[in-house]
Amino acid sequence: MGKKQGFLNGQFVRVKSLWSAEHHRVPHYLKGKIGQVISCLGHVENPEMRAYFKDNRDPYILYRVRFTHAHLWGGNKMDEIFADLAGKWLSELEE
Amino acid sequence: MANYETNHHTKDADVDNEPLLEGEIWEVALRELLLLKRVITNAELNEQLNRTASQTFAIGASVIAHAWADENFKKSLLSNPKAMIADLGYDVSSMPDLVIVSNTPDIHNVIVCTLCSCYPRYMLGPPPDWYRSAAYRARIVRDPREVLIEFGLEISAETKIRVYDSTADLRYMVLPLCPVSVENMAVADLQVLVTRDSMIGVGAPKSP
Repeated sequence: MGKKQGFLNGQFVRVKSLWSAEHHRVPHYLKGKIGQVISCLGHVENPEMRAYFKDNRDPYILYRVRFTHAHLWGGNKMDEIFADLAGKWLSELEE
Repeated sequence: MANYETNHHTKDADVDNEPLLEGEIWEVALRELLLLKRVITNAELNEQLNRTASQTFAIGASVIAHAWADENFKKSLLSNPKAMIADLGYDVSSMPDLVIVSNTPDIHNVIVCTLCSCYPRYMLGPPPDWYRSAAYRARIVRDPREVLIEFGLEISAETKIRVYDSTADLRYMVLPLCPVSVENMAVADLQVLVTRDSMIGVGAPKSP
């Protein structure tokens, strides 16, 4: 996965559409979807390491990302979903 | 062997006759080892089980009532929940980081954990079974309005529904809108109006 992790508030990002059989905290329904960074939540322990009791000295950056209901499912134009996602699972959106 | 087909008793009654799930086998193995190796005692285990079972949403309700009663407390609570909950005298040292999201006339917040069942247990006690069900976790992100109607909560078409999916380390709870005509009510009386479901976002507080 890419090393670029510095996303700005308001920036649009795409959730990486990768499959992993190992423990990770990215819901399937958000993979490949476009969201907007709401805020940076700082560093947290990496659950992909912690789940296997592995050395975990490299915490990852967590972002709160907004997805519109319309983008995910169509229909309602107003409702939205906020999810907390690791920077490593997000990629910049090409203009 | 009882013949369940012809027996008047339902098969579900004897739930402990079902074969153990893999996770349950692991739990039994770990528990028995911890007891055998004297890492924990039976008394300690039972004490913890009882403590967990007796947890309620009382802390959450108390915190919300304080926020309703005091606008300054509410502002500080939303920006720094852990410190303000500690200020009320609660020991938050073992509580995971908490975010309290405030409902407004324009935005109604709902909490879910689609990946598992993350829940602000310290504030709300053990999660209800439906919160952990696949149906709630799958449907609240997809059809929030319909699901809330099933809970008896109809959200106006002018109000945005914002679903928080607790996918990471933070736990979320909702600060519901304060009911009307509660002026000059004491915190203890306000607290009675706060329901567990209103702090998950699937219900409204009671009216005075």
